[in-house]
Amino acid sequence: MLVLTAVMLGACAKNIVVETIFPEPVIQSLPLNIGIHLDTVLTQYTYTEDLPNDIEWSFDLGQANKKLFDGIFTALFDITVPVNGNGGPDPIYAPLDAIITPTIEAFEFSLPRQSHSEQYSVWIRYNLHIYLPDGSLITKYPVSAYGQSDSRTFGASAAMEEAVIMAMRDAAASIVMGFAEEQKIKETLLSDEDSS
Amino acid sequence: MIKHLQMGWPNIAIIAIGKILTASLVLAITLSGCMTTRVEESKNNSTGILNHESIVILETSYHAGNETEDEFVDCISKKVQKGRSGINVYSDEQFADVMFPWFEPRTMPRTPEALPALFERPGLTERLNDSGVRYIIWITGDTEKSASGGSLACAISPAGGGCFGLGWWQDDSSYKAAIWDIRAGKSAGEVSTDVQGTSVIPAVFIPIPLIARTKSAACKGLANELQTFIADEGPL
Repeated sequence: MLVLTAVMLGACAKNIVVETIFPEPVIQSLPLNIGIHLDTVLTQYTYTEDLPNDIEWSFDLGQANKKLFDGIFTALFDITVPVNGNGGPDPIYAPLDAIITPTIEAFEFSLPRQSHSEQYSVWIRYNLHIYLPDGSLITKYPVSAYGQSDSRTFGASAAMEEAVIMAMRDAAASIVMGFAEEQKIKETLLSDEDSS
Repeated sequence: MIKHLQMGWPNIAIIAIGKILTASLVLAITLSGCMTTRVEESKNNSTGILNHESIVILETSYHAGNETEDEFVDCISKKVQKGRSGINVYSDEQFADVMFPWFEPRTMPRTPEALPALFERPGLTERLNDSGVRYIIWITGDTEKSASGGSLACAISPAGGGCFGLGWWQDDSSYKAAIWDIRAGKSAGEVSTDVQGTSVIPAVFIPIPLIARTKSAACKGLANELQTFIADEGPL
């Protein structure tokens, strides 16, 4: 009986593993040498929510996060180097202009019945922690992203995955458009570029 | 050897019900609810398209409140390519990928005046030339149920089942296509369609749905008008 119950409950759960390839952004890179710190919290990120009167939804964004940030930062900066920390006395940080550590601050989703629409919707709030090579924090750059997908075109799982992918692409668009315009980043990292 | 088949009342009843169901199905397929269609066009500039050029059909951004169904855009894309006046259509998903991230819902241009500045960005003009896309078609609109009424009741018992009554609803499919000429960097004009239709389900024992397929009619009307709009070179 317990086994049967477990099997029935398992059948009522949706597990979304986000598998996609993000296109290479068409942008001009910034003349910066940046260390990219993708920690395991980000690259193994999962989110689970058991909705009242509904099924359990779980999301695995880990590999997609890695592909997203590797792709954006490789296109956005002249040189990128993977690092394992946020800067400090270690000489490996010395040649870098800055270190970026992205984090996920929040993940939310809604179903068509909740929004009274035909859309599956996803909100993701990333935060880019930007450090100088000595480890001091320059700024935290928040990135709010939104994606939605039509429930009439896909099945529930495929529509939800598409909404997550759209939200991650939205995050990429937001970073590409706004990174060089952020005041602290502009003052600290790009002031030489402005004056030249 | 001749095998005699005796048909009792249950078999006759099954055949009769089968015939009624078949007739209902045929009626439902051949008949449809009544619809009224309005198609409008306004042309600002001359158009025309070469054999090696194509168009891309995109939904305007959901950040701007647009709720156009993906399936409608797919339908338009397929129909515009068909027939003697068929036009090459570049995949919307592929276009968003090759232009990434400048045609995402957050970043896509909202007016044709934004095109020249957008294509000044490094690399974008080369990608556009490689794609062969000459026109961007922006679709807005959706299909909504505007009214409904009537009463339809169904019952089932060990002796059989059936329905009685009349149910109806009205759908309104309203869509607009804005045509941007990328080469000229300005709007070529607009085509719009509005299809209203009433679907009815009368039922005396067997319900016969007479469905007004307004979205399908809007797709066909808009696609045909788009073909003419783009292929005809002169302004109206």
